[in-house]
Amino acid sequence: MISITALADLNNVVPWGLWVSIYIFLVGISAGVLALVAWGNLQGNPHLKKITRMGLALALSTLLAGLLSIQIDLGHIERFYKLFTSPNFGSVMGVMVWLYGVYFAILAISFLLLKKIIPKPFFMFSFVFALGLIVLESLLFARPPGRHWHSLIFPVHFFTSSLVSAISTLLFMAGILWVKDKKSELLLGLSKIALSIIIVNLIVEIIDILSFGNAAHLGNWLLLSGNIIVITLLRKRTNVSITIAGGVGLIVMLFSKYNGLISAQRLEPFRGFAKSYIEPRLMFSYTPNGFEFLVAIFLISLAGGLFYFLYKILPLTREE
Amino acid sequence: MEKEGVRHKISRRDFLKLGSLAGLTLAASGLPETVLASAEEKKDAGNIHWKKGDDILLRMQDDLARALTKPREQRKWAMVIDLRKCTGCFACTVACKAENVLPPNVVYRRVLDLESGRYPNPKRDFVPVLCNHCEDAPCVTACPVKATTKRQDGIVDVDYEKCIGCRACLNACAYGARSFDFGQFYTDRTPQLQNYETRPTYEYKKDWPRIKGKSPIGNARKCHFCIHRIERGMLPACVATCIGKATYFGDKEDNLSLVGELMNREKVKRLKESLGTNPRIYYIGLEEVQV
Repeated sequence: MISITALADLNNVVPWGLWVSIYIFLVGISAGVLALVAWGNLQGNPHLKKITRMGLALALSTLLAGLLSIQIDLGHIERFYKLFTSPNFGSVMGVMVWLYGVYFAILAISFLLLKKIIPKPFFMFSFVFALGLIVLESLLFARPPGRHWHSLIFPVHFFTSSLVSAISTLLFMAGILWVKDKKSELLLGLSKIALSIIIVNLIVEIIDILSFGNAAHLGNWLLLSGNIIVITLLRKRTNVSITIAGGVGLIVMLFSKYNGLISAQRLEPFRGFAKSYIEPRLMFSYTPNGFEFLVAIFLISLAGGLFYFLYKILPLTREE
Repeated sequence: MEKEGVRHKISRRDFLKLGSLAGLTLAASGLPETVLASAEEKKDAGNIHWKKGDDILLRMQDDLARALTKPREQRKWAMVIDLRKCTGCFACTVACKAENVLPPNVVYRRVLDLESGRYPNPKRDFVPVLCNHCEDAPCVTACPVKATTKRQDGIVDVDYEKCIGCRACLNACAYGARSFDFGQFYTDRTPQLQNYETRPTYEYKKDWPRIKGKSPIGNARKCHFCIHRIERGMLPACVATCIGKATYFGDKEDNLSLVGELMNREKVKRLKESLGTNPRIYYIGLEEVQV
C-alpha cells in the first residue's frame, strides 16, 4: 500500500508533524471531555451532568478522528494489525493501542447506560482512566533519552492543556447547539469551570515556557495572547462571547500542541548536526504543506460531523 | 590517447616523491607502530595471521574472522573512532551510501564538522556520528511492534517487514541516527530513474528492491554495522574506506583484537554517556572536542 506520509513535508528531524499534532489534540479533547463529564457526575455538578450525552458523543467522535489521523501518518498503514499481533508493552505507543480498546469499551458501556443511571464507581473508573490516558499520552513524547520532555512541567502542561481543549470544545459545541435555546445558565456555569481551568493552564504554561528558556519565541507569545483573549471573552459572560471563547480556545490549544511537538523535535542532538549532512528532508525546518492542511481540516470536520451524528442519535439523559 | 596523456602527467620521480610523503605521514601518525608492536607479542596466540608491516585493516579482518568462530552471543561488536585521525573527508558517509544504496534523505553515518576556539587558536574537529547500537537502546523500547530489536551480538537491527513506519524510534534516538525512507530517488523528476538507484539494497541478508509501497520505503532505517559484510568476514564499508584509518571495528570482548586493545590502552569516551544508553561507539579524543 502506498502511504500518504511521503506527500507530507515531514523530514527526519521533524518526523511527527501536523497530523500527529491533530492526533494529540483530538485524543486530548476526547480524554479531557470524558474526565470532565465523569468528574461532573461524581461531584454532582449540574452543568456538567447536563452535558453528559454531548460529552460522550464528543469523546467518541474525537477519539475516532484522532486515531484516524495517527493511522494515516504511518509509513505502512496496511501493517496496522501488527500493533495487536506483535505488541511491545514496553513501548508507550504499544500500550496505548490496547488502552484505546479499553477506552472504546468504556464509551460503549456509557452509551448503553445513558438512559439508566450510570453507577458512580463506573464514573470514578472513567475519570481515573481518562486522566491516566492523558498522562500516558504525554509520556509518548517523554522517553527520557528522547528529546521531547524538555522540562518536568511539560507533562503537567500537557495535562492542563488537554483539559482546556476539552472544556473549550464543550463551550463551543454547547454554544452552537444551544444558543437559540437560550440555555445561558448552562453556558455560564460551564464558562466558570472553563475560566478556572484556563487560568491554571496559563500559569503552568508560563512556568513551562520559562523553564524551557525560550520566552522570546513568537509562538509562545501567541499562545499567551490567545489564552488572555479567551479569558477576556469568558468574562463578558454572554452566549456569543462564551461560544467564541470556546472556538478561540480550541485554536489556541491546537497551536499549543503543535508548537510543543514541533519545537521540541527541532533540537539538535549535537552541535553542528544540522549542517553535517544536507538534503531536503534532513533540514531543521518544518512547515506543513497544503495537502497536510487539507487532511487536517478533513480530520477536524470528520470529528465535528461524527459528533453531530452521535449527538442526534444518542438517547436523552435523565437530566436533559 | 587521452588516457596516455594523463598517465604521462605523473612521472616516476613524482610518484616516488608522493610515495615517500605518504610513508612519512603514516610513520608520523604513530598508530601503526604501536599496533604492530603489540601484535608481535600476540603472535603466540596461535590464530593471528597478519604480520609486521601489514595494514591495520588486515589485522581487523583477522580479528573479525576470529570473532566469527565464536557463538553469536559471545561476540560483542563495537566501533572505536579516533577523532585525532579523522580528516573529515566524508569517505565513510559516501561508502555507506554506496554500500547500502541509500536514497535521498537517508543517511546512516554523518560527520559533524565542528569549529571551536578563537583566533589565533581556532580549531576544527570532525566527529562521525552513526547508530550507537546502545546496550539499552531507547529505540528498541519505543518501537510498538518489536520491529527494532537488539541482537545477541549487540547490533540493533530493524525488521523491515514488521516496521509500520510510525517513526517513534526516530524521536526516541538521542543521537539522531535514524532516517525515514520517504521513497524518494535522486533522479526523481528526470526522464528516467537511473539503475544505480533502483537496484536492490542488500541489507539484513536480503535483497530489498526499491518499489513504491514496499519496504524499505516507508520504514525507519539506520546503520546496522554492515551485518551482511561482517558475517562474511568483511569489515563494515565505513571502516574499510576510512582513509585516515580512524575507524576500527571488532569484538570488544576479545582482548587480542585491535578494538579491544584500543579500548584498554586509550582513553575512550562515548557520546551522551549520561543518558545511560550504553552506546557501543567509542571515541578516542572526544574529551578534546566540544560536541
